[in-house]
Amino acid sequence: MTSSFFQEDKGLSVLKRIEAVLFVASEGATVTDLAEAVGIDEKTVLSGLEALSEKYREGSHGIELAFLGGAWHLCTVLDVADAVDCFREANERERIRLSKAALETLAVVAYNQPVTRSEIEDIRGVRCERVIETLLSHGLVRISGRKKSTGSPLLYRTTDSFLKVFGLGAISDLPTVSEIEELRSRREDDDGETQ
Amino acid sequence: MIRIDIEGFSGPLDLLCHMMESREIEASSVSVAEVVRIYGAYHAQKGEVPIEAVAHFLVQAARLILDKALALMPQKVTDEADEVWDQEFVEDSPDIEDMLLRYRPYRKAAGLLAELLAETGLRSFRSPLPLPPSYDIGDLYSLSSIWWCLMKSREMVFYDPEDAWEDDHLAGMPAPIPEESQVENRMDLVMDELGNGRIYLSAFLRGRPGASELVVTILALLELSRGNRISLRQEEQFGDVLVLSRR
Repeated sequence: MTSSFFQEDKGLSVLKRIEAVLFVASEGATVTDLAEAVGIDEKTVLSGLEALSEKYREGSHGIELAFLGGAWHLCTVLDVADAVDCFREANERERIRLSKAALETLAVVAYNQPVTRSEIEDIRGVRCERVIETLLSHGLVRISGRKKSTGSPLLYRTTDSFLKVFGLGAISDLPTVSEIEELRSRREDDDGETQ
Repeated sequence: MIRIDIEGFSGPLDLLCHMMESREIEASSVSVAEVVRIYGAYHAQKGEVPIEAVAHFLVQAARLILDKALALMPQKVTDEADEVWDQEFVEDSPDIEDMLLRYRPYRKAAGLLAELLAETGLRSFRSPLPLPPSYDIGDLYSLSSIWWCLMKSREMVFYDPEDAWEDDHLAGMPAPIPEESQVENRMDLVMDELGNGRIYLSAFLRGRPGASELVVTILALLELSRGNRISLRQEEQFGDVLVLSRR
């Protein structure tokens, strides 16, 4: 379906437009954004995105299409990171470095959201106010209201930035605890085979 | 709750998990003495320990000792009062095994997130990460972050002499005038309108509504009176003020 879409003149024009919009959309674009910008229906946009993805994969390009945090992004492929790193000066690269405590707190928020600070602390067994401040300042979690209970504590949720930083399309892409076990053992097997 | 900060561990439960996994502590029978020794050594090494941390430490240590003591007793405790007390205690402080059981999945999830972060970090986007904080209704933190970002950018504009849009970034807004200049201007205006005659304050203020206008005018009149350039007369309390020229 995608290849026939790609071969038609009209399809080519649509692809060029979608690609151009994605190129300038530094924060990514949703299917609705693309449909409005290109002036076509969302179904055709999805077909176009599929065709573009295929084009990048088949052509061994240095960029790819990724669906992250509810939006489509043009980004570099994983195996060219060394070249991009060399190009960018060290102070220009703003990679997020998160402590183990921050990752654990994020995991608790991600799997229990919306969640209060005391609930996070109850699970982790330690105080978390500083970690939560750090996560808030990174834009990885946000305050999503107050719980209707004693003291009306603040509720926390993960953000779209969280999804983008961790390479997730939606929060539902996070594996369950049992799936994490499988995933990690599969990765260990893969690593063993490649060695 | 003990606040603990050890390099490589995200908290006491993480440390306990690590010790159990590395067989430094048996999961089935947690060595109370070992746990107390490690925690005690950590706090002693740190030097500064808040009283709250010591209290929590003692509570947890006591809890471990109690569990251990109860586990060693062969006969069931039948004393009614003790049973009630024990029940209440368990409700207030969940068993450490239960806590670890609840905590472990998140530890694994954190490990997965670390892997995802490392992998996704190999991608580069046209806009660098982290992304700017997003605005959300009710999210005061984001609002204040945006406010401070704006303030910061404004400061940069003010302190950059080569910035081309310094002059018109407040286009349409009148330039602020120092208070002294405002009073001086008003003194000149009063003397112009007064001439060599007299004028009532209410007549002078007509067409100049607003509290700031009144304050500036009063200050100007007082300054003129102090300089013996005018005299002020009020016939009755809270009545109109007559301004007379002394030229």
